[in-house]
Amino acid sequence: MTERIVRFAIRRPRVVIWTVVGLSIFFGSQFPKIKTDTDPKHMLPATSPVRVNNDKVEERFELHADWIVLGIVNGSGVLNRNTLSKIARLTDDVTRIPGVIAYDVVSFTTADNVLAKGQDLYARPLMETVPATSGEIAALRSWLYENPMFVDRLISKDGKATAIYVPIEKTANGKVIADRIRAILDKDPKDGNGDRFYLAGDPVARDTFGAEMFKQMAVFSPIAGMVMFVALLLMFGTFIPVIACMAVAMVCVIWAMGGTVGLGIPIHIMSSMSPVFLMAISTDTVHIFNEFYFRFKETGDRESAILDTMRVVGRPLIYTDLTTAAAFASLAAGHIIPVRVFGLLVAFGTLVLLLMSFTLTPALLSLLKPERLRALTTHEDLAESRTSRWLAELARWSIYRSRSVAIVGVLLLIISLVGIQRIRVNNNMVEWFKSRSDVRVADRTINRKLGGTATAYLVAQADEEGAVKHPDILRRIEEMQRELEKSPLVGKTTSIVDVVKRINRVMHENDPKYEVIPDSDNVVAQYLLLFSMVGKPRDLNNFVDYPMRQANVWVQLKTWDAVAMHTVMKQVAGGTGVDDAISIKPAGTAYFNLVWNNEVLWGMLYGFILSCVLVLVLMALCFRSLRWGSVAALPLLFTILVIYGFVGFVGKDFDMPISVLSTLSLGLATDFAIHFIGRFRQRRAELGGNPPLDEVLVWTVARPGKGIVRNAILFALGFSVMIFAALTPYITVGLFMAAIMLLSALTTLVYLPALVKLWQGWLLKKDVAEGR
Amino acid sequence: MTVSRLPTWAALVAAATILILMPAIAELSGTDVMTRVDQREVGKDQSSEVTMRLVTKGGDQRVRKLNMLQKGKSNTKKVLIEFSQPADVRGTKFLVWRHPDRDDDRWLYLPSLHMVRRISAADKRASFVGSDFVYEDVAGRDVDQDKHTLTGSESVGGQDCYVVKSVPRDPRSVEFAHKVSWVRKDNFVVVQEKYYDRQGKPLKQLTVDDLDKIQGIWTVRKETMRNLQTGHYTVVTWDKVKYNTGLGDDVFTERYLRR
Repeated sequence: MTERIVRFAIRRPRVVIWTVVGLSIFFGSQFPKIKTDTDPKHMLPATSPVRVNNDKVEERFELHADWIVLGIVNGSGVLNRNTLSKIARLTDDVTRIPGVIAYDVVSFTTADNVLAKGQDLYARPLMETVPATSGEIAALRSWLYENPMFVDRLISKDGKATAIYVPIEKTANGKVIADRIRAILDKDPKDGNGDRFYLAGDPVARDTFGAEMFKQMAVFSPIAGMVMFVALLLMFGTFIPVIACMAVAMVCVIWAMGGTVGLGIPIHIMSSMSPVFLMAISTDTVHIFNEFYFRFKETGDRESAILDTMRVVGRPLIYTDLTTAAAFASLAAGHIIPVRVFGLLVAFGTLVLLLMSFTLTPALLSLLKPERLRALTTHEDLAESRTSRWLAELARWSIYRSRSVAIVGVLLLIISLVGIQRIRVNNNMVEWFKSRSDVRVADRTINRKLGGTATAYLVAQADEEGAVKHPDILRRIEEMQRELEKSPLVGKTTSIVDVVKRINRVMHENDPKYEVIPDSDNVVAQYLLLFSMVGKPRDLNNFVDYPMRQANVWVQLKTWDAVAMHTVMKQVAGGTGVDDAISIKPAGTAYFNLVWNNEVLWGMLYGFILSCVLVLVLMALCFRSLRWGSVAALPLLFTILVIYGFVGFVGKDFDMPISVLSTLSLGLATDFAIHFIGRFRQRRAELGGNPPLDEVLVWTVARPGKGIVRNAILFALGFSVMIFAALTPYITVGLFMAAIMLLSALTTLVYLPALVKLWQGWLLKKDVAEGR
Repeated sequence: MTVSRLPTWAALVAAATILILMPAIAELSGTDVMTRVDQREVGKDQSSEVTMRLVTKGGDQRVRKLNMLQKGKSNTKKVLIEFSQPADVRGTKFLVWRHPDRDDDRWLYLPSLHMVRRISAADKRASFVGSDFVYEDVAGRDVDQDKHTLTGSESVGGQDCYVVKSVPRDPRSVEFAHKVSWVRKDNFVVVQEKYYDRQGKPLKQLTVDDLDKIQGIWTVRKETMRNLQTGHYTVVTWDKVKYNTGLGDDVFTERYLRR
């Protein structure tokens, strides 16, 4: 069957090539339809409990999911006429941007200030008009600092920072709005007043990342391609194999990505990395050229060299590609949408690769001129090739010292297991940007000056209606707030307690002594009614629900670390007893980040373990031997454990990019192992009888091994360029890609010979008995 | 063949009537319409029991009941509100005096603290007790605060209405960019209003759900204000409406609040 296809491809190379080109144009034409989705919320299905609960909390307390924070910092204090008039202008302009929820923008000019002047109660915006005199500025200063709800939110303790809080609609793009705000800032007359502006908040980070990730992919994929191109050229000396390798890679990427886009599936952060994966997997083609060069050298006939090559390489190719495809497809079994899309996309691309290996690649090979080939393949001989000689040396060394090699391996594994214990599962989207990027600088500055850019909600729930009006419950909530604020991760907490205390003080002629929770339910109820007559409804609704059964405590965190929220929840759990009148339920973006982070990472991990088992089964089936199957799975296991161990030791967080990357070992480590074992057993069968084991092993390391080394170096080189990317996940991709490549190649070439040697009795008995 | 012909004199009278009335109808400007609304007959005083039902997008409800007394009209109106429900705010009172030439006076009385506070709120467009109505919806808004343009006629609920577009003269003082009112031509009651924000998007919508004639005075018995952006809405019903009960001025005083 496969031979018939290959024969057709050699006979009619142009038909094959043009068909592939035509189809690629079709898939490529889908790209303009591309939709991207970087909202972490969409990692989980809309029906997931955490999303449903978050939506409910947002609805109940009239909260907005997405806030952009425009921080304004002035070294000599923001409470000066110039900066204040700028704030007034900016607030006004920002509310006009489409996508901004105008009525809930919070700044000096929109925040309500309720204060007492004798028997009179004043309710008005903090800054109705820009203060003209130093007396008015002093008044503003005292209003800001006497109200705990303003401090660290609208004014920093040192008076050098304030912020405009801009809620945006769910469908709005944070980067687009951030860019509009930047344009407003650029247009605003420069007054040399020394104001500095910082744009932070989850939507900015998220959507900037979304925009940036495509730019990075657009820049670095071609650069990586170029580096690989040059490396391939050096390896094979002529353009055809180079072009063939690149063409196959391109076809896989275009078909898989184009197909996904064409089906209307949005591209998530995870699937944006799939071109890199497909390029890595498609270097498989190198094995065909590697073998072809050897074969051509032996026979000198192009046609038969192609057919022979495909005959020996074909089976490992089918095995590796099917295993890889199955492994990635199994990621789709989970319920995390981007992981499913990613898994299926890569699986499809791998099948495309398989198809190309039997059609496009032979067709391209058949276009090579025999004379040119002869000149190129003169050195392609085990005895003459330097790489092969070196590899043969390596093989002998690991066979003779198989025991020490195995012991070193076991030691490495033990050390890795220790490292794995230290792994911290965490994710922080802001840290996907480099330390000196605008996003990081803004986030850091605002977090240092004000309460914190990451928001979580702790919803205190009581059993009976109106419970939130009980002074006991209020005191309990206050206790929790004070407890939480002890943590350095928590910048600020705000709740209905702060509102009630504030009104109590205002009703008692601004006497600080009354900044306490009153003793009677009715007083609290009447205060809240009073507040609903002077303040904005949202200032109340954000904190209590309508039946007054639930109170919402805002917690501002100083970091987007998912684990920070975990700490907060542990603190809360430590403080509440079982007999408590209220229970606390978390919600909000910071909590959501924690949940999806855990779900995605653990989901990825379980999916990965499942895939490993699947790979093992598949390989056992391929080799029709459980023993060989398990040996073939060892390089995969080894690579992944060593890499995880390393991650644990260097203290790098186990985050999404790393979890995605580890799945790549599914595609590569198994690939190498299958080629190695497949060719090893084929060689034994070719030689017949019971050939000397060492010789066959050395041959395998030197000949198919050269393909593995070529493959590995090619990729390590190609992707090391990503170290220069502007987004940290891509840097991680570059580094780890190289590491996985080299490690799995090394494991295959050093450990497989040593293990086969050590376990020969156990592994080869059956082969010998079957006469293979 | 019998052809009934209109007598010539009748045709002349009809033509003359149309000629006299037409300019009057045509000349009624937006401002005229809104002034007629402001000046329409509402009696000397009015007492009613008001129920406000605040409903969130999610369906949570908050019900407030209050007794409302009003005296005078337009910009000399006085309003006294006493909450009766929920129980923990019973007796809380709220008094408004409107003045033609300056900001309204507002007082609030909290029974559990026996305390009266004068409220000086710059924002007349602030929500009234957390509802979708604002103070001005309760107390009234001066006609000359907006520029009114008559944009046409439309039928609302089978009744012919003027459509008036109003743009605030001081855009910074209000939460809306402009509003459109539908005013019944026969009795000058506003039966529908639509508010738009600065981005031109619909913000709020008022509909009058029940209009009744009580003691010869057109009286809104039920109306709904819907925030089109948050999904929140407020339904207000008026019961036991009585006009001209002879309320004295002493009822609308700070001293009366403490009683």
